[in-house]
Amino acid sequence: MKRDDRRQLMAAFGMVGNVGIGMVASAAVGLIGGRFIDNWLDSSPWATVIGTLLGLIAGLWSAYKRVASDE
Amino acid sequence: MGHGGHEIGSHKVAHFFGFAFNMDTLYMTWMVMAIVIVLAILAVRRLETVPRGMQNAFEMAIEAIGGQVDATIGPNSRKVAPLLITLFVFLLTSNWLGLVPGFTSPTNDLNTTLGLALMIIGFVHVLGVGHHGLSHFKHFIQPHPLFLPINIIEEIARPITLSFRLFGNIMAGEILIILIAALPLYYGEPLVGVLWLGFSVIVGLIQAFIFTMLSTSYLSNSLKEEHH
Repeated sequence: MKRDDRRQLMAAFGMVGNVGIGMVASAAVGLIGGRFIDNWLDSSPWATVIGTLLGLIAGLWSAYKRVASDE
Repeated sequence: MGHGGHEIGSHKVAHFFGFAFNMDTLYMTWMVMAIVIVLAILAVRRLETVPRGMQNAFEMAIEAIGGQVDATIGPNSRKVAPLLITLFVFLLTSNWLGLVPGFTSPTNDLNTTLGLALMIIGFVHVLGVGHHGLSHFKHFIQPHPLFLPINIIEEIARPITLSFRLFGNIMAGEILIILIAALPLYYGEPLVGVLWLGFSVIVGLIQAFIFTMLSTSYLSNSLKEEHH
């Protein structure tokens, strides 16, 4: 089925494009959120460190979920 | 500078009631809306069994996007297909409008893309609550309540990835068009310009498609019978 093949190819392109940018964006959200909490509670650098780590894990987690659900 | 008298990345800002408005983005958005509305009216004015012209083009778009939406969402797809097809047509027109000299894409403004992305994410939750009730929010603590902060970060990252990808691609395309036009004239310059324009047409199509497809996959999670 040529049409279905093309559909799957486009969906795969979308997925692959999203995995990379999703990992970066999650890490950035964790970092910025951590900085915000550090400024608020004057707890530098702990919230930034924890936030960045959580962001990195969130990036991996969303990539894993996306790949696992599309298989 | 060059293309439509715009500086790269800057907007004509007007202030009303303490808010700042990027007027060029607003004008171009109204223009895209007008184009889409006129084209849609032309497409349905004389419907024929064997479609021709505008009706044919619209039927192709509806079939392509509608088919993809159907395949992703399943039986509930009719609820959201009109929104997603409209989104695709709007984005495609927006992305291509910037390739016409004198015009800019509304999507080269982060406010437009972030607004659209937030609308989609908001709609995801409204639809999820409508479909599943408050148990829609259960997916935040799956597979374990410890995942709550991770899932929240992921949720915040979603509109950011959606909007920055579209904005970045369209913005970069327009910057390169201006830069190529500003190059000192040499033999290959018109060819490079034309090649880049052709490439931008494809980028505009692909980015509109990717935005629509990701929105579809986010919406499909709220319409599924059971959450994963």
